[in-house]
Amino acid sequence: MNRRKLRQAMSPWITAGGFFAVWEVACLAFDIPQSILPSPTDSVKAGIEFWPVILSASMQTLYTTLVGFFIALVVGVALGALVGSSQAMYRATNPLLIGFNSVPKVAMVPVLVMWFGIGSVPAILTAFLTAFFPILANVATGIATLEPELADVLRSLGAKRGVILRKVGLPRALPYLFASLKVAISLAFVGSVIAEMVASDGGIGYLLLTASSSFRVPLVFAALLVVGVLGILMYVIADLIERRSTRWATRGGGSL
Amino acid sequence: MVNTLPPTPEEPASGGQRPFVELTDVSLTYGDFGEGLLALKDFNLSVGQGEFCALVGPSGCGKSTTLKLVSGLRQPDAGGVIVAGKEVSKPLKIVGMAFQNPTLLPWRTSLDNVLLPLEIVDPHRRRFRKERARHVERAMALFDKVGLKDVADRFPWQLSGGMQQRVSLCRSLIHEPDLLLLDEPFGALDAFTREDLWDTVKALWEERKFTTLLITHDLTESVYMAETVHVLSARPGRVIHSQRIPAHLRRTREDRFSPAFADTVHRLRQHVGHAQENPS
Ligand SMILES: Nc1ncnc2c1ncn2[C@@H]1O[C@H](COP(=O)(O)OP(=O)(O)O)[C@@H](O)[C@H]1O
Ligand SMILES: [Mg+2]
Repeated sequence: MNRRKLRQAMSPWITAGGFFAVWEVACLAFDIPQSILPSPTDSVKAGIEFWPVILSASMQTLYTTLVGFFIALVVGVALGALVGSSQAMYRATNPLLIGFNSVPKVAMVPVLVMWFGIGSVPAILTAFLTAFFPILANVATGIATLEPELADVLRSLGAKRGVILRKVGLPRALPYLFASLKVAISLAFVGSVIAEMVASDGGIGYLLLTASSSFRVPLVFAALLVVGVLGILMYVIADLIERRSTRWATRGGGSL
Repeated sequence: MVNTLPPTPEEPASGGQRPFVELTDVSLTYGDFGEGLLALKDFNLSVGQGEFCALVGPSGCGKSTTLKLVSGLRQPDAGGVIVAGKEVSKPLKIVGMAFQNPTLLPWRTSLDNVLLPLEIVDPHRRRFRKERARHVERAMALFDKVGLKDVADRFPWQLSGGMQQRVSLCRSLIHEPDLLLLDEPFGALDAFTREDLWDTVKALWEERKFTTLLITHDLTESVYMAETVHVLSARPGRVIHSQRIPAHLRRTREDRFSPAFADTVHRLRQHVGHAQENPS
């Protein structure tokens, strides 16, 4: 590895390190009390002190996020294929979908609680509701933007709708799908955490809420750091899957 | 200007061959909400079995629309379309098509792109897996014929435009169609590649004699390739002039520089000019 490559590989770490260094120094220099802004070391200390709590909360959040995300994936791909494979369907459902997408999903949490009570179900459903729209929209776009000439070639071979969808539509939608997964998993995560803050008895969101209401500010920040790290982790996983599966979409090169 | 040209064929088209494609008094309007766009009107065209014919005409006059009618992708509002003795009422399965855009699937290798029609079209579809080896052999033979070497395992985005178009051509021929429809397939290529491909397509046609309709805006191309050239009027399109091109005019590349060849192109050019100035 030459110097330039090394520098490129290191740059995200250096940026992050710099960010925390500035934060730490600022806390020390201005003597900011822990109850307002704990330094990174304080936060990490709190994290270590309370690790069993944080770990189980993270697991709970990861669980609700992944379950919600998985449902979103299945529903999003199925509906996306349905909407994308016919112009009439696209026209008919578009306004409804846009309207649905404009409703802030947090606003639906109280309704979900009303229906399902406090627990992981509202969090899972919120994750699902926030995540499924970008998946649906992207899959539909990928399928609907099939070149008309290619559609002609296939139709003139007597291809049925289902065959076109399987052989061309879905593979064509894959890069769109994977691009949306990165967005969707982050959204699912945000949805989970928010729902947990409103209507749960576990998870990072719940931990955030209880810690802040008892003024354990370092613990709040420790939880926030964990949220950030988990977010990055999920993004990276989605990105890895994307790169492996659709090399052709980036013409053999990598993407970020 | 030479505006006195009669709108009827100067020389008889399809010399005595049985017509394979026949469009009679065809009209087609796009759009259904009153403000429709009349693309073709009283369109008549006859292409003999095994004939190579070219359609030339102003942009937007309905050339691609004609191919859609012939392939059964669209039905006419009026008039009849007959292919291989049968009224066309749904997409035909005996056609191969190639366009200006190669439209290859980027996630498939060249070989798998070429095999795609066999995975879709009956009767090959059912026994595709069993007969794959035989199909691969055929595809390789086609690659060879169109002058492609070592492309089978490469992806379309690893190929030049000319190579992609050759692969596209192989895809349009793999299922041995009786009718080949080419919609400006050479339009986006550089001059040298284009001229190479002319000879490739010509050689393939000489060998198999599939009925071919070539759309082009290049008159040299039309005269060099086609036995009959049809000139279309501006929209709504119809054939205003058909001309047979004698075989001796266009045997080799050098023939394209002969005075007789230039003269033929020139005459066609006048008809096209006539079409542009006087929308029917
Ligand atoms: N699907 C369509 N819907 C509406 N108008 C169309 C459609 N396809 C073609 N047209 C119009 O019909 C006319 C003929 O089109 P086309 O056959 O593609 O012309 P060209 O001779 O250039 O191939 C053009 O004016 C074009 O804009
Ligand atoms: Mg066209």
